[in-house]
Amino acid sequence: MCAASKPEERLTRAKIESILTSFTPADWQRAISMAAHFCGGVTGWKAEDLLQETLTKLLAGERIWRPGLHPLVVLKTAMYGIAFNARRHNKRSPVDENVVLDPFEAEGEENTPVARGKVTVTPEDVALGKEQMTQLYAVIAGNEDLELLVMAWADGIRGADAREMLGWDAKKYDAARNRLLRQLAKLDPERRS
Amino acid sequence: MMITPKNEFKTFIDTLVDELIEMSDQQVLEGLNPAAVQAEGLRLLNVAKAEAGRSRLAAAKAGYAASKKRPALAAVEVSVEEARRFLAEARNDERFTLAARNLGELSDDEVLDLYRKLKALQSSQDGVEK
Repeated sequence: MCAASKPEERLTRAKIESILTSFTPADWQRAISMAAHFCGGVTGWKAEDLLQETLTKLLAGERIWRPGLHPLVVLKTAMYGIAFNARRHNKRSPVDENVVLDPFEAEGEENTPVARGKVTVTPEDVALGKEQMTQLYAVIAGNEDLELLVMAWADGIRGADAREMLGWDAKKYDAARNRLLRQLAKLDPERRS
Repeated sequence: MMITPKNEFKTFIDTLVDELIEMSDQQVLEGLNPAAVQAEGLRLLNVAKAEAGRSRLAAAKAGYAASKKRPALAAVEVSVEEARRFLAEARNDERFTLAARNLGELSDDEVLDLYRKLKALQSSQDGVEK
């Protein structure tokens, strides 16, 4: 016998507002850290833009907040969809928005825009996620510990399992994780130094 | 057997979020001003609330505008006799010939149902012809 399908369960706008209003500073920072990583490759978006768009869509009911989930997991799922849609939009546009044009850096009398950064030359069949990882590896290039940590996380190995696999103690693991989070923030174009 | 390519990025993000959840607040906020971080978060939330409100209002307006365009189906309360008379006349209208045949075999409910459908069709055609 088939079970009758349940009506779609979602939190009300009031409940969502209540959860978000009670976010601690650390919760907001966690959300921003996550957004910064999703922003890599989404031109014109900074972490705050992505987080705000995500909150808007959740509050407007355009993205569903299912009951019983950790707020960060809900934000992650929504951000994933929004960031990837934005990235796909960039890819389809005839203008490569990944080239940053800055007329104020032009030298001489002509205000010819100068391209900063590289034109993204990515074969269309390259998975967007793979591209994102490539950017991450580029940011941490040369730092062996961080590369190992990213490889472990990308394999789904974390915490005590990752420490054991890498042969690190808790102190070294925490230090590497904190360094990695700081590096992830650099994927946000606004924070690149 | 098909092999599904592994989504390294998705796995990485899942792990990152698990780590962020597990980290202590102190570790997460290391080197940052907690008050400033919270103020920024609440600012984003307030902007999002205003945007979401505008979006919902726009959707409500669009829904209202669409409902105004729909033919008024409510005003079809007629007697069975009137409905049968209308359908009998409609039998000679080439637009409704097929729908109105075998009128005598229809129950009262079927007659009223058919009347409503033909009225709705008539309204929509009148709308198109305008």
